[in-house]
Amino acid sequence: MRKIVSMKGSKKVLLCCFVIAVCCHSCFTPEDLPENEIMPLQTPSIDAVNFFPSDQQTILFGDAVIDISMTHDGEAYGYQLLLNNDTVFSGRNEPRMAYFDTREFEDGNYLLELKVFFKTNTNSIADQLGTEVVIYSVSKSVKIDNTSGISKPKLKAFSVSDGELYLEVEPFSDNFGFESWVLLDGNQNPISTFVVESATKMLVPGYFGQPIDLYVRLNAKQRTEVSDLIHYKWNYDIEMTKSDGNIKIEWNEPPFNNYEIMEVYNWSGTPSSMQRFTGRSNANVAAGTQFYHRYFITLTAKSRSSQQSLVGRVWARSNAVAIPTNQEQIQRYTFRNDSVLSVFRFLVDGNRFDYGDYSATNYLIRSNSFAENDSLIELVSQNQIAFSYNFNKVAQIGSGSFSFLDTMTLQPVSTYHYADLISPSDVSQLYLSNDNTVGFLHNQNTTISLYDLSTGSVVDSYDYDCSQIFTYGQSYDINQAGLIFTKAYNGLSSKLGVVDGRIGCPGNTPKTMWFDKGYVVNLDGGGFPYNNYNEIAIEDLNGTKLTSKSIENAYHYPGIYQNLYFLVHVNGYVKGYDLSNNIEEVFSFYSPNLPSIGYVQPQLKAGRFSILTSENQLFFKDFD
Amino acid sequence: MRKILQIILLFISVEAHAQFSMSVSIGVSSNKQSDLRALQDDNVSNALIPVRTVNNFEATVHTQLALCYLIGSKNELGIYSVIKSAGARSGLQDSTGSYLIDQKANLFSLGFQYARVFGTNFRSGMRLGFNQTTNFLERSIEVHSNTIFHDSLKLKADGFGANPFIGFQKPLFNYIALGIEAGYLIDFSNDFKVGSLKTDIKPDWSGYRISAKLAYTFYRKI
Repeated sequence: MRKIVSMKGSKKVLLCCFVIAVCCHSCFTPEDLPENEIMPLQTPSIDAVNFFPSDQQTILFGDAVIDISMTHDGEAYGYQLLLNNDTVFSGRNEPRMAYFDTREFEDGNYLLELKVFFKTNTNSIADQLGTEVVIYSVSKSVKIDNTSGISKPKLKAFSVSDGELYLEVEPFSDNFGFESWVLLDGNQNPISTFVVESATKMLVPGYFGQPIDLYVRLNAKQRTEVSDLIHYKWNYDIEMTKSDGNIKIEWNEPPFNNYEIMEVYNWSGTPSSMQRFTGRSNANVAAGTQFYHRYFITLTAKSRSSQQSLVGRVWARSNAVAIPTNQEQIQRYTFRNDSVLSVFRFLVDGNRFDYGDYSATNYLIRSNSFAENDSLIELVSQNQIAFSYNFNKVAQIGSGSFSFLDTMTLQPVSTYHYADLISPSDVSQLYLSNDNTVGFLHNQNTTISLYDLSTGSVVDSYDYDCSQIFTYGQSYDINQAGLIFTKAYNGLSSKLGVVDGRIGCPGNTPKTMWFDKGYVVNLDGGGFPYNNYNEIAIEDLNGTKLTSKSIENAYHYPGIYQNLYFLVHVNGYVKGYDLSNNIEEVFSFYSPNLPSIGYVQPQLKAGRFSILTSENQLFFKDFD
Repeated sequence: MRKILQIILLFISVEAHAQFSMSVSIGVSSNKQSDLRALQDDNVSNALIPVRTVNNFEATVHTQLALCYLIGSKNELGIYSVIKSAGARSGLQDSTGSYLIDQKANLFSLGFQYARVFGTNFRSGMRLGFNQTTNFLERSIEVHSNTIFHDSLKLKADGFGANPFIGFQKPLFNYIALGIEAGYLIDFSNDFKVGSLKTDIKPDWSGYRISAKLAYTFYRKI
């Protein structure tokens, strides 16, 4: 065996050289950061500040308007109005007036404080970042009174439908400001909540003719008022069965003892009289072989005792007449322009208009938001909390969809449940779809499946490990429905599929959002590694770019509201773009203390834009 | 054919005067790094406050280790490893806080080299090897000792490199030689990846290199 010449000493030398070399390489040490020169502090002088005229110390119910005027020589960084240390207004530009809603606060005495944040003008890093400011504060005591001048609303009329009690309320414009009605049963337990505002109609679901005592409670945010007790004891105990082509209508305890005439209509487009009865006995209705969806019974009666005419209507649905199982989830409606519809989410003339509230199942749509002409509304079906409404006239059931052609008063007639198509235990989170599918995130949080609601079958699924998917609240927001969920890291995304839910793993930021049927809006450009996107593009679901617009560098966390698409830009500006109009910029404002990058989730709901700043301040801006 | 035969003979150790050398080279090399420089510039331009750049992938230390075997007196064959680091720093600091935008890139290269010896002291050759680059990006904002923002990202890229070189080497003692070497590294790295996700930027260590060399030569007896 050969032997290498001894070189113990040399080996040590080489080993030392190697160590030195490794140390040299691994010690990349750049120079120290450049020093920033700090200037002396310049305290601003405030010459005059006046806010909220001194002769007005009580703020009454409603929106409070605070007049502000001041003169100073400093460079103001921001303004903040506080009520007992709760921020009610903040902004970067010097306000002449500030607004807040008294309903946010209980009646009582408060300390109203105006803070002005001046730059220190030291040019320090903290000064430039806005984290070091000179604060000028002035305050005064005020009293909030939400109670004075508020009258109780009165119920005016009642009507019933199958499974639902429908109440009409006198207009209560003088009570504007309450946010919801709550119907209570005789034990004061809530039955139904209804958004107030301009609504004059309330729905009590699950009513099947049983005697019921109702209260109405008006909820202002911090205030509750219970109206007079309403004793509602109509008792229509009606059964409808079908046999041999006939519909048999029976009532066990006829409530019509004092009435003389009853008319029964079928319901197929235009109500037409099937049969007219006189008297108080049960009736058989010749329905032939037709499977009409609904029967409409009108009681036109005269009270023998009082000789007064009374008209009541009863919706009833035969147990023997099944709802067609092939119906699509998109149902079409027309509605009168001055009506109010409570829906969950729907489309208008093919375009997504709005979504309801996910948790409350009630949502108020102001019909005056639409054009004067009747609009076609497509109400998209949902999950077990979904419900649908139609109007008084049902045109037809055909080709899997309902059409309601008349423009009569809105009246809910039915509730559909699709949850029985899918076992709820299979899912932990639900996302809505814009057509016949709905995405569910499984309990294991590893698979997303898309279900066809008409059949309940899985049409597609994706493996998607998001075990911490709900760590961040902004990862999903049902009111932001319409996103393509992406598997992304800092803009490096891959589309997995289209659902109307927003799914993003922690650290993954969706940059593609569902815009409209078949289209998405996508952030493109140099999105690496800090999401400095420079293009907004409307694409079809195949990724074909249809329209695009160059933008200044933008971060992630975009939002979409109707046709409005908004972004946080790197320079601290929040900008909105009209997707229906060549992605034109429609608003731009500076949001103080926006985190450059971070888990910030801007939202725009009901016309209010909000964003959580790096200082955990909620900045908001309202739009018309 | 003759050289191939010599190589075979080398590995079966039949040559009578097998001559090995181990060397360490330390020098300075430039870096193109156009993508990483642009990334740094982009981050600087998007900083919340005006910041200054003190380093943006400027020339840095280049360290190389090699183990070679002289075939006859003219051909030298061996393996080599290069370790190199470069980076970028931008930011600002004062008594109220600091704003930092940093990048630190490391190169590890391993491969084969061949050199032709001219006379006794001059040589020229080529190194071909596998390159692996890691780049660590970091941004942080600190105000009054509180970190109000921090994020970081680690990128990795693989590729190949070619490094033609020329050198001069002068023996000092029996086994020790000193020399200088100059060359140009051509980097063929792929795009960086974040985890398994591909990016659209890549490292580029291409650049000139000049280094001092310390070599130890020893013989292997039959």
